Amino acid sequence: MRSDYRLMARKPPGKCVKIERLGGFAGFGMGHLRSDGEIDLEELPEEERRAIERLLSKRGAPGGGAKSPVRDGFRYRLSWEEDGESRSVEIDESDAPERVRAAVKDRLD
Amino acid sequence: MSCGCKFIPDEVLARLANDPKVPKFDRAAMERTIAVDQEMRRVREATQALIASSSMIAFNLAPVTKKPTVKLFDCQHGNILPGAPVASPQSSSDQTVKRTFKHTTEFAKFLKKFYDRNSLDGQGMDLLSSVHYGQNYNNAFWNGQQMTYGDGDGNIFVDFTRGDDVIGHELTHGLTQFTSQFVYSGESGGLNESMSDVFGSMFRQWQKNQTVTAADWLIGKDIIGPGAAASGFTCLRDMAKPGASHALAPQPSHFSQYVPGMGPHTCSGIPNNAFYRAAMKIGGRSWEKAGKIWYKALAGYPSSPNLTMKKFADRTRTAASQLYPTQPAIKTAVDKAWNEVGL
Repeated sequence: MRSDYRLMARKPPGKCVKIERLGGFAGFGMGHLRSDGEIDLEELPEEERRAIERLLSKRGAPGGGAKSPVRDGFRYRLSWEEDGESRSVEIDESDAPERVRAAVKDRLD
Repeated sequence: MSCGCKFIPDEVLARLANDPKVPKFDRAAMERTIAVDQEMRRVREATQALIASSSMIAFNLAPVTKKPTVKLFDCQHGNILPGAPVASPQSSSDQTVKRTFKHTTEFAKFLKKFYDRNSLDGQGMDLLSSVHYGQNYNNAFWNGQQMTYGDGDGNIFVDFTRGDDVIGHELTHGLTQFTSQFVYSGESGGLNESMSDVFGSMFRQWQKNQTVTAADWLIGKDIIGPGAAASGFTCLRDMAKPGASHALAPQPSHFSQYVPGMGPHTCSGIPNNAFYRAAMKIGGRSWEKAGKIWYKALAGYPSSPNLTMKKFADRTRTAASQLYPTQPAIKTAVDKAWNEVGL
């Protein structure tokens, strides 16, 4: 499920969630390391879709971040379009459903 | 102490749990979520309080004699920690297990021999490591209690346990947790990451018995996979040249480049470069004089979660004078190193 933003643009708004994996020991999201993908909520089983929608409902809120004891842990940024605006939420890996974790692919930029 | 890492506040969950329009199954799940959240918060707060108080007590106590036991667990490519315990890891046929046991044991010796520290907490705590975490997992991390290592995807990265500096890096996150407790954001976040790179690099140099001039000062050299190598990358970070193009994650090297909000793995390039410069000016083996100065600045003070880079630099200046009062050139070397990175 490698990211393809041209495809994302053709999908109806509010159905497609872009996912970026950030941080870790290597520092994904900075330098030459990228990890990203996407999920089409309409293609998910009801239970999984609702679990992800619950995450999206807290848009803008940072993950555990500085208060978490985890060091070098991954974070996931979920971004989507809603009412013509870009929205995003960031979560720690421990809060990321398996579907979100599995959606990204690591690559060199 | 409140927890800032929740997505749905308890009051919202409670309202939904009592809403007859919500299906019964979902309401029950919400009630369980509230109970788990509350318990997790209690555990988290108790852990933080315990670490803080034990850090203060340990600061004034002589190290106890208990030796740390190194324990290995195999996640078998799953995501559940700690995984299955591994019996006799020192003689395992699994090279990842054997290597992790060896480097972790060596790191405990390194702390004891040169810094007179009994394990990460100074009290001989056991060292737990989980290997083969996840599928093609390009990461290693410290979760507050133990180390976890992925096997890499075989393209960008190979098995993270191949890097003794990686293992030293993750273990040092534990050391920092039990000493200065640097918060993982802002300048203190950069210091937290830098301590791990500094001690990881020194550990690698000690394992190779290298002087500062023989060392390559690269972080993550031994875990670079064939795909990254084919693109010209030789490491994750370069302490000598943080902005180098051969690093997968180039960093700033001067404090004038620091921007509030910069991530810990980015701004750590500044104190990393200061340590490299100090060690090179002092000469010899990094873990001896420069390492002892940095260790004193990290572990010789009570918990200081929000320490700035400038204050940490001043700690090392003070430590250089205290540890080597008859060798003023060492204090001068440390002072110049920090001045050169703008601190």
